[in-house]
Amino acid sequence: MLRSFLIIFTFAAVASCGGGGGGSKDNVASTAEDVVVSVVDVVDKIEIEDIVVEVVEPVEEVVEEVVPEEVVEVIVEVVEEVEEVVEEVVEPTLPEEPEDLGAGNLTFHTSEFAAFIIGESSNIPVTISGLEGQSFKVSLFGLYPDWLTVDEKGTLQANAPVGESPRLLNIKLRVDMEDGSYSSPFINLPLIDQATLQDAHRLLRQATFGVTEESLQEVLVLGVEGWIDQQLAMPLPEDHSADGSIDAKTHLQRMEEIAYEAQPSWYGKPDHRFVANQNYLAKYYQDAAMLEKIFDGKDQLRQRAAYALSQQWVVSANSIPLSTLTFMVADYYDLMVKYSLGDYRQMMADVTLSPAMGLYLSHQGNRAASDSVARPDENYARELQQLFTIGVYQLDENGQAIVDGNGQPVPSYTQQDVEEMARVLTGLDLVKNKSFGSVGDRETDYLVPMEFNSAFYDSNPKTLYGVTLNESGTTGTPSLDHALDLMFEHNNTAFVIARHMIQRMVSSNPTQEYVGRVAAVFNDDGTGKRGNMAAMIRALLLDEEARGPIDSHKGKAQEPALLFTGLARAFNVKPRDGWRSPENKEMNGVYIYRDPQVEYGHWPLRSGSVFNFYQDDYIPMGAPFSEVDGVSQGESLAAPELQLFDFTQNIDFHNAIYNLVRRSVQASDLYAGGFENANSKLTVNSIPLLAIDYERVLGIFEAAMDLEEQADGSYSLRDSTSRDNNGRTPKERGIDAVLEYFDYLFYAKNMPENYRLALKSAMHEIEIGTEGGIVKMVYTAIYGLSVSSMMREQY
Amino acid sequence: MKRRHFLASSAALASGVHPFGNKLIAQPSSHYQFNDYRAMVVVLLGGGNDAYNMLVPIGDETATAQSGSGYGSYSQARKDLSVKNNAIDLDSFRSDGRLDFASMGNPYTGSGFANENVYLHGHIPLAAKGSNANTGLGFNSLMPELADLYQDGSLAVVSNSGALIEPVTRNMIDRNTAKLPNFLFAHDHQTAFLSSADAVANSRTGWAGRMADSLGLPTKPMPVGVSFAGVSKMLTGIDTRPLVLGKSLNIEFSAANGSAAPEHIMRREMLLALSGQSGDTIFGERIRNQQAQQYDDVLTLNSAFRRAPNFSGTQDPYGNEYFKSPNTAQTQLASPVTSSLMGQLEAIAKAIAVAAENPESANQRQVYFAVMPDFDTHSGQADRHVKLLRGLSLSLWHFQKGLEHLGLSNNVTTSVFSEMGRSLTCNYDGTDHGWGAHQLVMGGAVNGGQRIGDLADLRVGGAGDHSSKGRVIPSTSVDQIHASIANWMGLSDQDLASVFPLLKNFQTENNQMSSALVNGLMQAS
Repeated sequence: MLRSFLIIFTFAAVASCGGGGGGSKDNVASTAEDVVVSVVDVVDKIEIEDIVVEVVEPVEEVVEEVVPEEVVEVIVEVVEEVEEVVEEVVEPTLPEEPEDLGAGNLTFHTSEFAAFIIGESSNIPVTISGLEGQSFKVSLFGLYPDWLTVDEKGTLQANAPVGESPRLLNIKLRVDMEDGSYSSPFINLPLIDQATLQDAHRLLRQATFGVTEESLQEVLVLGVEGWIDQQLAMPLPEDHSADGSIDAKTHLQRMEEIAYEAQPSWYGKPDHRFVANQNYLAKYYQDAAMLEKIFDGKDQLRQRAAYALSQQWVVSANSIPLSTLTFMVADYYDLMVKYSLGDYRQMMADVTLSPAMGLYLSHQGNRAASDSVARPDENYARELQQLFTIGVYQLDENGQAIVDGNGQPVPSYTQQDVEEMARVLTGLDLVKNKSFGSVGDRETDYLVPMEFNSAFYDSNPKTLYGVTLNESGTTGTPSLDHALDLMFEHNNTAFVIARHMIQRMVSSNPTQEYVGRVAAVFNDDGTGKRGNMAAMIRALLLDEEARGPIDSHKGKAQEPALLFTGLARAFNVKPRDGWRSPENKEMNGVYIYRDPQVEYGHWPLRSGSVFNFYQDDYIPMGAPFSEVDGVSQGESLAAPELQLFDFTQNIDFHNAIYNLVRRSVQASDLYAGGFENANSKLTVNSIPLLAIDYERVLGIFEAAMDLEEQADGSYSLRDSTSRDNNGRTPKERGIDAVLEYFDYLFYAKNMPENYRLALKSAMHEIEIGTEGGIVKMVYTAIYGLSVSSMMREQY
Repeated sequence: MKRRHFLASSAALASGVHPFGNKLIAQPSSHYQFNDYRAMVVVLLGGGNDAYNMLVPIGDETATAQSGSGYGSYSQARKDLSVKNNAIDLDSFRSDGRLDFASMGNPYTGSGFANENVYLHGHIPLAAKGSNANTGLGFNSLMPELADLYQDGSLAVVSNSGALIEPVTRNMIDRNTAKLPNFLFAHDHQTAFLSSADAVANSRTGWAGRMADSLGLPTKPMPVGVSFAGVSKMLTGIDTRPLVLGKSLNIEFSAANGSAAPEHIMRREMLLALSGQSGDTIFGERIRNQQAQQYDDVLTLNSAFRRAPNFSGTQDPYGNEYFKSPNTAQTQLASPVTSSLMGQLEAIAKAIAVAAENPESANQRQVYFAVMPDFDTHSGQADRHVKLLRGLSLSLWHFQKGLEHLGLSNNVTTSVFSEMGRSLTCNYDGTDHGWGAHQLVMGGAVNGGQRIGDLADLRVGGAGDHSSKGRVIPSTSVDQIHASIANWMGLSDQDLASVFPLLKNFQTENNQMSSALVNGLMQAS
């Protein structure tokens, strides 16, 4: 897990060495040999055993199978750099390393996630085992930077000035004891550039469903741009090699598999998927597929962008009849997935003809006016213009609303345009419907695009935005292509979609210039093509407003659904296995989390209306969002996601998270008091049928406790009295180590000291000696940090 | 800029705003003094309720000289979606003077179980008890409970009301001289317009929020505005914002429930300590401020709500306890009535009881907000609107009777409206966005048993139509109705003018704000 993290620092270390060291008396990589040693050290740590002997040989073949291609490239670079350095550093000009004193019986250890931050002061305790109660004094040994000190107990204190290069520091300590003096082997500690780490965090919160150790290291290795390009290059399920992974399946395919596995006699008959009333469990299978993609999918950027897009082109299973037709909803979401990085104009057509949208906004079965029909249904015709494409006000070339002589904004369409568009949308119906416009026939094909039936089409001339529509289109109805072209090419559309995607991913209050830059890429991706969403998303994430200096008034609040997915991903969420389906099948590997929208106030594909979970222009009252003059149109700041943050939702959120972290313990064998060993009793009604995995964190905690006095066998894990050279009990070391880990994973090594103290004192209150004490400490802290305000914002 | 360390220097951020309406500056002493408790309950029928199939136009057109407001004009526009002109006598469903469906059957049955037949079965003409007055409207026979409340004098109908900036006529619209709300037929814009009660489309405050501001009452854990429909613009003022509750009234942090158990204390201290740390952005900062305040207020509210009354021993026309939905065997409908409103109104009744008894922790003037969604019946209306109307009728009756049970019916006035009406013309199996509709006003302080307001000309393309699709021009504004209730709450004329800035456009006498109120709607206080 740590492999690429360390590699990049090694690379940096080598590079800085090649630059001559800048006057610092670093011992790091001061000789060519050291460089090689440190590479070997690192390579050793990353558990690619063969690489040690392969360093001077071509490494590609050795590591190809072990790490992804991108990582290999870095390693090759490292090796090449090493070779250069070997040539350059022929004459040693730096002071010599003093003679090693040997470590004797002493061992030295630091937290796995400890690192020095450039430009900040930081303390890292070194745990020394083997002191056996003797008096001792610790000092630095050999060559070290002048901003590094150690106290006599062994706590390293660093204050690396801005300008230092990120690299791996190799530090040696000297310990003077009654029985002699010893020196430690190299203690490797990264000196990191907090800004780089923070930007990686920032990117992952903008572009994925939550930061994980693995994804963080991917970004550190590939760089922001490299990571985005790698994500953009990931194939759609239909283009993916059929390797059985979740990435090779669509939402619909996976939902169908799960439904069939759980209820083979019901879902074995394909038309049963669309029998209302008998289908009340199907939505959980649809959510299970959604959760799999969110938790385990590699194509995170695509899935996150799809979630963002689905908040504009809204379809919801919180509506009749889609609530019992969730296979259609999964099918619809696959369109969002496909087009979130695809061709926008094609999406406009596909969504218009999609059965799910046809039912949701009721243009399915829409009829021309006749003796029994006064006029066609205007539902989709209105929202297609108002919400999905051109928006309500006419914008100028800069995306600024155009105002009339009275200072009023000019509407971009009229009621007449809505009525004309309603006529364009006549004659569309589900394939194989028994009678035009009916819903619920078993024979109907609900998963193929709607077809055109000319008998119900209004073929009279139509005018949209003053343009007479031609009737020679080939998609859907004869006038549909031309109408969609007018919307697609409308000046407003690029601004509307650019702003929406920025607000969902990066910032609630983008500048007009930012929106304009992203909209320009929508209008022309550089090859003259309009509507290239991949290019637009790339521009959106690489823009200086997404990547540049952090501004307290930029960024956004994160909505509860993303907080939940972030927590689940960070702690390697797993399905609970062994539950019994309604047909008594033993179910494994399926995430069931019933109706997350109840606990989190919203959920993908579960909007209360076509207006999404929150309004893009929701402005909280009061400074700094809205000045105290409540009616004026002065400066104001939007915070759409805060519309979900209210008294009751906040309580529900706290309780949902607490339930999850506690039930996750009971789902594992960690906690004797609550271990549910009879998993066969679990059914689809037991929620949640997923659990976060504490193994990683417990491992860190226990490793930190275990570090001393293992040799004589007298040490007990539960012993809270034995202290290390820094005066910390094993429990305190465990707490410190876990908080270091959280700091890295959630705060980019920038956890405020107040936070650390709050979590630390809560954890400390818990008796370590009791059964499950450690895991209780861990989940208490996870609960606290998950509900805290800092986790709920994106900077 | 370096993360995290700059916010501490920003005094503006540190000041924060109380989620229950703490003023940023010292609170001025209110010029309002109240010795009783009064609440207004605002129910929004989200999506645009089809008021014409809820209150069917039943007037005889020949007798009223082709006014266009009768059954003939209605059924001509509605075609197959017309409710039958079949008058049903509510008395035949009563025993001992009260509705009794358990033994007398449902007024809307007799035509089978299909929702469509039930929907179009007939109507109960609006008539106060012992009156034969021809009011021109009849409740859909799916709503016998509302007819019951009307006859008992607890419910009034304000006909042909809707979103207006000023009185307008077809003639003004044709000549382009009418000031109309922006995007008249768009849900979100009309909801925002009616919430703000201000022609400025993006006015950041709502009328109920401004009302709370004007009352200037001291801040309490149960503030003036209480929403059961999430963060609501309507209830947001400059200094005040609503408490958002859920229908379970469960407001306990399960990990830190305020008890003296050491682990609960430990976790509560952790949450409090974490909420003392500034965030990186204004978003985190807002969350932190509200969270810190909430960790305090939740304990007071939770202990108050635990003492909320219940409704055991009560009986509705089906023999069920109040706020229990009847089953399909009782309703004889093809599918169950699931009214999201019933749970909200039950919680509101309980919260009102708690607030009225706890003046130390609740403001004694309150506005509650509930939303019943799904009225946007573009398609499948005959199937969908049945359940909505049935649920609405039951929920409102339970609420009114529940308040009577609690002895609070004279202290609470309920307003039921929709952001828009629906088009009279149908689109085969549904209706589209319209404009004017009918508003229901209910409560012991209402002059019930009467229909107030005009009956519109329903002829498509006629004098009452916005254009040519049967989107009816309203003649009374929603603001006039809400202002009348606000006046009953005790708001002065001067404050009415600032809370409802458009109200002056409806004055019939110069500089007489009271002349814009709906005459005779509320009993004199």
